[in-house]
Amino acid sequence: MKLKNTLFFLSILFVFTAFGQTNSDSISIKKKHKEVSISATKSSKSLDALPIPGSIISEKEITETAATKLDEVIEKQTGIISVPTKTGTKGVQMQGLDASYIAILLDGCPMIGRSFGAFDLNRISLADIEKIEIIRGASSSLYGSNALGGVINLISKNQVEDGKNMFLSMKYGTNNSLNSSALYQYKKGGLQLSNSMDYYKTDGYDLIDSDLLNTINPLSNYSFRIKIKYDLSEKIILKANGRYFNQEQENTGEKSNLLLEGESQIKEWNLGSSIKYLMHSNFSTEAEIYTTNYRTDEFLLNQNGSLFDKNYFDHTLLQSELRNNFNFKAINGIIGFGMTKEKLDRKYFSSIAQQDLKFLYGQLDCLAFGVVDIIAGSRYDNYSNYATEISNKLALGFPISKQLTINSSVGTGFKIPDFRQRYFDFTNSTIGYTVLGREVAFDRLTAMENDGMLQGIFIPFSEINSPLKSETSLNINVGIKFKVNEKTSFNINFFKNEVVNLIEAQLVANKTNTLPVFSYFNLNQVETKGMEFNTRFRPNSKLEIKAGYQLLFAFDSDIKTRFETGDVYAKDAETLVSFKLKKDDYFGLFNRSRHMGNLKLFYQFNDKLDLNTIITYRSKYALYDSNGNNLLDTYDEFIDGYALCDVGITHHTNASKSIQLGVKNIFDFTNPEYISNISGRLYYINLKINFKN
Amino acid sequence: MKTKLVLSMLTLAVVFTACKKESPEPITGCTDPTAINFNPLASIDDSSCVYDIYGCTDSTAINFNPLASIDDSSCIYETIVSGTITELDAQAATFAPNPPPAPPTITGDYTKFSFAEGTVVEGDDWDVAFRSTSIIFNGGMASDTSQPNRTGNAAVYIIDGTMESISSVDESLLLQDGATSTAIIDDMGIQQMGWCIYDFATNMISPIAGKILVVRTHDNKYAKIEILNFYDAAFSNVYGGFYTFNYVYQSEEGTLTF
Repeated sequence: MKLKNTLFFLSILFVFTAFGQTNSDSISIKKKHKEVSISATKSSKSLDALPIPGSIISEKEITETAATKLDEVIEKQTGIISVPTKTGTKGVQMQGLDASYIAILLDGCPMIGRSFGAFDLNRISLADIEKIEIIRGASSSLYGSNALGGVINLISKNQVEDGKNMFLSMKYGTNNSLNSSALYQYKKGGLQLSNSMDYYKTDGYDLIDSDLLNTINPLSNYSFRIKIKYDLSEKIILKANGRYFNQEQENTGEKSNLLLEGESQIKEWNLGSSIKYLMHSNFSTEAEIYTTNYRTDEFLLNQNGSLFDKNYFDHTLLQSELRNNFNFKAINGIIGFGMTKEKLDRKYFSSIAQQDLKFLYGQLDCLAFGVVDIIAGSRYDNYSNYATEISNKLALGFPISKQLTINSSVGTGFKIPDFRQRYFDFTNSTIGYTVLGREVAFDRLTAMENDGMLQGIFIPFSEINSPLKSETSLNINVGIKFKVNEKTSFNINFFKNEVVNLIEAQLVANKTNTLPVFSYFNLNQVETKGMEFNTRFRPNSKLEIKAGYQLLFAFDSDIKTRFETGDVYAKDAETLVSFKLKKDDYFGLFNRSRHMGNLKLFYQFNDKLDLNTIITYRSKYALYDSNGNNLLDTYDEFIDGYALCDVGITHHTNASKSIQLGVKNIFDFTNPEYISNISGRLYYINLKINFKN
Repeated sequence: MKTKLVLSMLTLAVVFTACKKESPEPITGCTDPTAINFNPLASIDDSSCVYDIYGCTDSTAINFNPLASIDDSSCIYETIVSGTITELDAQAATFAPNPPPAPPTITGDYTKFSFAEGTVVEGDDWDVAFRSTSIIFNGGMASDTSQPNRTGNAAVYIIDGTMESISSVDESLLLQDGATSTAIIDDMGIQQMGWCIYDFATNMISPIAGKILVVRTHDNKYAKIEILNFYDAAFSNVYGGFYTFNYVYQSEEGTLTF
């Protein structure tokens, strides 16, 4: 830690000494035609000049693919998949790290509401979204916990022209899915108003007819969002925004071959407001307050109508933050601080879990010696009932020529133990095992021991009487961006993430009825490394081809060591007889594909008609062990790799009307046994109208 | 033609003159009186003597010598028996999950197996008995009234390896069932301290790869087991209880290898 801090301060020193030798106005951010990212720096920065691996899903791409929900577009990005995990929840994976390490932001503010760490991206409507920024690799130096693996930031549309603007869209498709949305924008003088609503419903689908349950139950949801921006004066900008989301879905279960029915509901709201003071052309300050609540309620009834099971989850976050932006010569800087209060009330918690955080961060972005792009940032997180964390990031971009830039970045990330890992108090209803969060484990176990309920103690309670450590990561990226010519460009990025102190449940004791009691411990260490490649080719003004590929190796370090020392066995699939595995038989972590790729083709026939095709591919992977060793080796049964192909055509009737027809998953790929989120071929029609005055 | 005729005549003449009768030849054969084919008339030994071969003349012995003519009591018989038992029915009579924190109620008799018999047995001469995920041995003490009485001296330990690699017994590791817990911990696979893994996603029990049970039988012989499967092919019981396993049994008392 000390070394990291020293390095960080040295780099700041370097930044300050370097700027003196540069031309003052050599940094040009915000060229109109260039893609600008704000997630990497919390201020605008040209994506081309960003030395951190990042990408932007543009409004054009969202529109072309007729995407209306976040997961429809995110899973078409290189190295990112949105997959159901072993627990059945669906989440994104980036650089081989899973959903609990990826922060999801809406206009920079954190979204909450996760199930086993995974965030359901289907909750987010794209009706008023202009672009989606993706930062790969540790970003805790700006965003704190949860940004250990990366950030997905949704940026909503900003009205530029005066007047009223209204966008209506309606999409209908297979499974009786309907998605209609309306966006109303208004600008007059210093006032800007943006209002959007989105309604979605689907009948769901069933991939396995022989069982009682649907794969996806019918659901409907709607959301409202309002954003107001008011320029009080040339120097003072007020902003306020609110969002409400409501989803209702049939809930079903199965008990002794009988169908249990019920309902599950999600209610979510976000409220934020900010005031920005442009004190000087080189200095601005912004105060922001943001609060959000996510609540789920679900129940299941027995056949006779009596209650079988009931569950709730209620998470609230309140965050206030003060950000100061300054630029001095060729340096852009940001210093921010704030505090966050979080609380979670849910079933299986004996009391409401709370957590307070105070944070301070700073980041400098400069062009040293007129050539080297440097980003150096650091963040200090001080938790009320937790150890403090310091996260750093240093990124350097070296433009070798006008065509070629070499980028490298090093960052640290962390994720503090989630509420479940700390406060869970759960006893399984079918088998009777118990899982205790670390902070309740000591008291509960001591009480159980005093009551004579424990038979064997495998881990001394003294080891449980200390809080869990945060999971921390070290992320390294080295890559190049190469612009071959006006038509062709590509970038390659090599990445590596080392995550230590991963939190896993481990056996602590067993009860007199022999059933186990688990608690959470910092146990594992994983490593993901690989390469990402993206290219773009525009042979003429009509055709654009993009391709992406990710190579990934993801290992558990302890298991890798076990393979190296050579005492790992597997059972032969045919004879079921055990045999010893060799060193290189370890495949890696579950639910990781070694190869992922995509090919996107856009062809514009004329002003009115264009064609859009996307092929995504994922190589084989496995969710479970199949040969008796609880790990994934090359002899396990894998889920075959698969490719999906979407085709759509858009007809622009005129400047304000368009109609899209398309087929998703045109080859009707399904894997009912293992892949629940791919429903087979989907047809859709999408109408869009834009009223303007 | 003429030449050929002359040559053949010459040859005939040579044959007739050369082949006159000789004096009597000596008899060849075995001249050793200790050989079983001794020929008293033979004067020249032609290396054909055949002697009595001592050895094991029992064709069921592992050292059976088909050439042996006299059994010298050296026969060694195979004491190692290998076998595979398929779907040994050890289902619990009832398997009823309970509301927490109680464990599931499991009732029913244990299915007893004898290595010497190579099959399921009744009575007291059993070595190992199964019921659901629980495996007990005929030695030590019963930890549950539903278990059969212990009448023998059986013990067991569980070790990492394959059936080939575990080829001898380490007596110091042997453990007997006790009054509070069994030697092979029955954790239903949850803790993976016994022979199986419980998969929380699929609710299936599967044997852990590379776990060999080394057994002392009720009458102090040794055996090893590898459990292959816990379910029958028809999957007739979601709670399983059908054991398919390979075993190797050393029937000779005191021999620690198999």
